[in-house]
Amino acid sequence: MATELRGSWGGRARNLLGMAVDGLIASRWRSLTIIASVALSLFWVVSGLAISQGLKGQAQVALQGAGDLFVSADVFGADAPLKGDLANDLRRLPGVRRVTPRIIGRLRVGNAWASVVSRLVEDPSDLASNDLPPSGKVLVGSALAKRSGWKVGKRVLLEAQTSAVFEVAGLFDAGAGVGSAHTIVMEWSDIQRLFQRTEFVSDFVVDCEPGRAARLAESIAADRSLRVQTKDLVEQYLDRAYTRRAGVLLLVFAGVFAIAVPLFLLLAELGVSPRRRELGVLKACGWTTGDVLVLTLLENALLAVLGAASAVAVAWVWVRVFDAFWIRGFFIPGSTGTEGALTVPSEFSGMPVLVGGLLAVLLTTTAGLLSVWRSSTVPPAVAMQS
Amino acid sequence: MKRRRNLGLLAIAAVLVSGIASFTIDGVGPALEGTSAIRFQRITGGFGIGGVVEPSWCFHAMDPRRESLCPTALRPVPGLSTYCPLESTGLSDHGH
Repeated sequence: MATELRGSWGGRARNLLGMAVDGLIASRWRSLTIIASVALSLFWVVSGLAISQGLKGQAQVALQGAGDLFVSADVFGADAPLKGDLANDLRRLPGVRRVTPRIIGRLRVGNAWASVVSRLVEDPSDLASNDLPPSGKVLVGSALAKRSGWKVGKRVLLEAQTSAVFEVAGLFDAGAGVGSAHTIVMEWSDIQRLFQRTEFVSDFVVDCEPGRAARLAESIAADRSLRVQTKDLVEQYLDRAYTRRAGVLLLVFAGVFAIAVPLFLLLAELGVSPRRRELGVLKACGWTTGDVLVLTLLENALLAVLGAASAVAVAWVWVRVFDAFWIRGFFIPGSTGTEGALTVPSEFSGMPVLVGGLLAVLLTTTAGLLSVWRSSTVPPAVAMQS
Repeated sequence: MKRRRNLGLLAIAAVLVSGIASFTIDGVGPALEGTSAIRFQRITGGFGIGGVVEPSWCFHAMDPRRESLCPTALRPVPGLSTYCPLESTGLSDHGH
């Protein structure tokens, strides 16, 4: 091991880095154990944050593809269906481009629940008019199809207020989003017949002229029997909800952190004790306590960076290659057993990687600080005797 | 010694590259931008912004536009009236 630390700042840093690498190689089993421990304790936090980011991104796509305002009835402080003919009143408001009535219901399919969605397409310029299935046919989410053993062309019985047989005309693929997984889309008159409701709709999707949404929302909400949600408001929900979810994940990690620190402390102590004599030699050669401290902290920082990189790589493989096997149900309720039929949304850029790196550095340096300090402040004579 | 150090540096570089690659490859084309997701949203008029697969409990956690309040919430009293398995999804407590 080189003991010279003279020279320029760059040369000195290079020497220290080289010595830190030598130190890690010399105690390779300890290094590998720490890297593996950091990776294992961090990978699921990184996975969770990445899935949370992915869900948020997917929700933003969903928002962009939707209308500007969502109008439902307010009955006793809760959302309720409203009369379909109210659409004509809304269409007359200045700034309204299109009002689309929707029915969103739910029904039981075997052991699972399915959302049933339809919208009334009256405007030929509405792009959805080409995609909606004709009467007697349905489009089905891939996870529901997998669970129920449905395939394209199969005739299936759906039961709500009445029952009817439909032909599966197509499946939404695994990448169509979490919201599509258990959704059945059908034609307008079919859904009215299935739920035995012809007068009522779940809500109206209102497309507005640019810059008119806020004013229109106020004007519609003046009728206290209506509840209006704007795109901006929903964006706020999303932001708050997914930030909160990330916060909860980090809080859970704080518990793991509290348990992990003493373990890492023990590992660090085990690693430093045999080197006390070596550090004593360095100090006898003129190294200051600061130099020794920097060297050992550099070793810990290298371990942290390697642990964080391993955690990100393992998390990526786990989520992207193995589709978040075993942990998907925890992050996306109801998704257990949908492997292959539902792509788990995830985004590894930005926050998950940054948080993973910071946590790894915090974990190894916090745990190693005490043993490093103890070893670097031992007088050379005492260290040589140990 | 020098050979061992080089091998060590190589191993460190390999681990770092795999970590960095994980999120740089990721940025190339996230699946959520895919046409199938956009097509689904177009057909439904916008549905499913929560990270929940099925409306087993309520629609609120799946999409607060369909049901803007959590049916189990006891507002203004903190807490829930019953256990809700979707509470952990985040959207079920957006404070609206």
